[in-house]
Amino acid sequence: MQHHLNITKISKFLIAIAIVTAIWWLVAIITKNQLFPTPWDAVKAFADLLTTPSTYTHVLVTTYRTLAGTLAGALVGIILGITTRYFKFMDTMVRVVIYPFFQSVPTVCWAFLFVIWFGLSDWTPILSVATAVMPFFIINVWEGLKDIDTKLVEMGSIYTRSKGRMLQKIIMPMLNPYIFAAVQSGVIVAWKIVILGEVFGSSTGMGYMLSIDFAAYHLPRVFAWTISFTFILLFFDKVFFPFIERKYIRKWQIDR
Amino acid sequence: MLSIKDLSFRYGKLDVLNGISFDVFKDETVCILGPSGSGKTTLLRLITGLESIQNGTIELSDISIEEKNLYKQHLGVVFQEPRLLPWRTSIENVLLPFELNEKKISDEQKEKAIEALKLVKLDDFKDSYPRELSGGMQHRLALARALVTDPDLLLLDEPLTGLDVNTKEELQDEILYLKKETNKTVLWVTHDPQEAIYVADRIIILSERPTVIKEIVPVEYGYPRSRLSSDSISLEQHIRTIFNEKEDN
Ligand SMILES: Nc1ncnc2c1ncn2[C@@H]1O[C@H](COP(=O)(O)OP(=O)(O)O)[C@@H](O)[C@H]1O
Ligand SMILES: [Mg+2]
Repeated sequence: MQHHLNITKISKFLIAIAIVTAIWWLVAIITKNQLFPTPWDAVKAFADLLTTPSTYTHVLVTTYRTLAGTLAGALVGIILGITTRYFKFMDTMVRVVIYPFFQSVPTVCWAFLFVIWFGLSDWTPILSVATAVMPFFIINVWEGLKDIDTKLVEMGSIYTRSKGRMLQKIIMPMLNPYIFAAVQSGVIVAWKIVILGEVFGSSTGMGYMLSIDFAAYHLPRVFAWTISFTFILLFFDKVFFPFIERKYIRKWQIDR
Repeated sequence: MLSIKDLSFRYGKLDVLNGISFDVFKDETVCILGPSGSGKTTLLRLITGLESIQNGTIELSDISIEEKNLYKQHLGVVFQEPRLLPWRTSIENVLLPFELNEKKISDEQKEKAIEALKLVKLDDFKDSYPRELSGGMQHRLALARALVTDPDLLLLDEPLTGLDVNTKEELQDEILYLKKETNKTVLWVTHDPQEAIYVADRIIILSERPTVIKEIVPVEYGYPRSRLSSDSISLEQHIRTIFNEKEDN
């Protein structure tokens, strides 16, 4: 049964791909434009990328920046989110100032600022990502704190008066599923933003390569990079996260 | 052991407890029997320090509830629901009281946890998660967690709620056995007169809100008790009469 379902799923996926490819091809033929490559050109350029060793370095560099940026944003966001539970001042500060500010400043503005401050370096893409994903973590930690099982907190408070240990042993574990949800949406946004950050402020990574090919009007290559992004995102979204969730996150979820 | 004097409590405008005084002596099992909403849970929350005292005093082994740290070491609590951490295995749940108190768990504490699990016959399930256990087993696990710190006084708030009759009776016997085995004094809240008669040395009967103590009834037969002896049936009738009496005003 399970097997059967999977096959229908896969065939649906393949049909969808086929339709998109067909439309793409049609448009490429109709426009007959050098600036709109056919799927075949893109696949050739993609194969070309796959056989170029430096591609992998760029992919790794970009992955590293995505993860480092998400991690940094996560740390700051989680800490800010949690402090709102303990300090009235921080609650006002985060709710009224920090969260709305980071939520509304466009990432491009950050990217510009970071280029000015840090020049062409890892910092621009990493910090762009961090500032963009940080609000996800704040809001998800809030959500988690709102849903906290107060009965468990009460049970723990019988045994200790240490807020630190309560946080570590009882409250943080309850936040895990919420933080994981933030990581999931965060990483996906992070991938889009890291590319932007690299276009602006880096001399390595997939975004940088994209900008080079773009500047050279090497359109099949631009498409090929785009395909690579898609594959990487699909991998995270459909393979990696579901796997982690099945294996590690389920047990933290409280059934009510 | 536990000494409560003139305890009154209100939630905002709602008068809940209205001058409650009683003692629980060492090795006793005392049941608190009262209608739903009479403030039984509130009373236990006051004893555990989950609500702060408005009027009256509570002392445990001559330590006032004001001295929180010392006082709490003498208490074990089982709530109406098992309140287990779903992400922890049985043994990890039992170790929680230690972990909340100290940075590092000692081998001795690990042994104590295993012993507590053995007492409630869950040692074969020490690596199971709560959701893998039956309702009765979850309640037993909560008992093990309450016993692991070896408290003097065990507070039980309708600990067998939501269990079927067989499991409930089994667990009543088990709690009595644990109490004897570990020399605990027990304060047991229930709304079931039969349960009270089966387990208690004394039964404190509460009125409706605003709550006072109507009567304290001693139960004078030894253990093990039979559930259906003529004595216990007439005692049950006696208690039900007090229980159902309307106040005179
Ligand atoms: N946190 C609270 N705030 C306001 N009223 C409460 C609260 N907890 C309980 N009450 C009220 O206090 C009364 C006693 O409740 P409780 O101690 O739970 O009774 P019991 O355990 O005997 O059923 C009830 O009328 C209940 O509605
Ligand atoms: Mg209650």
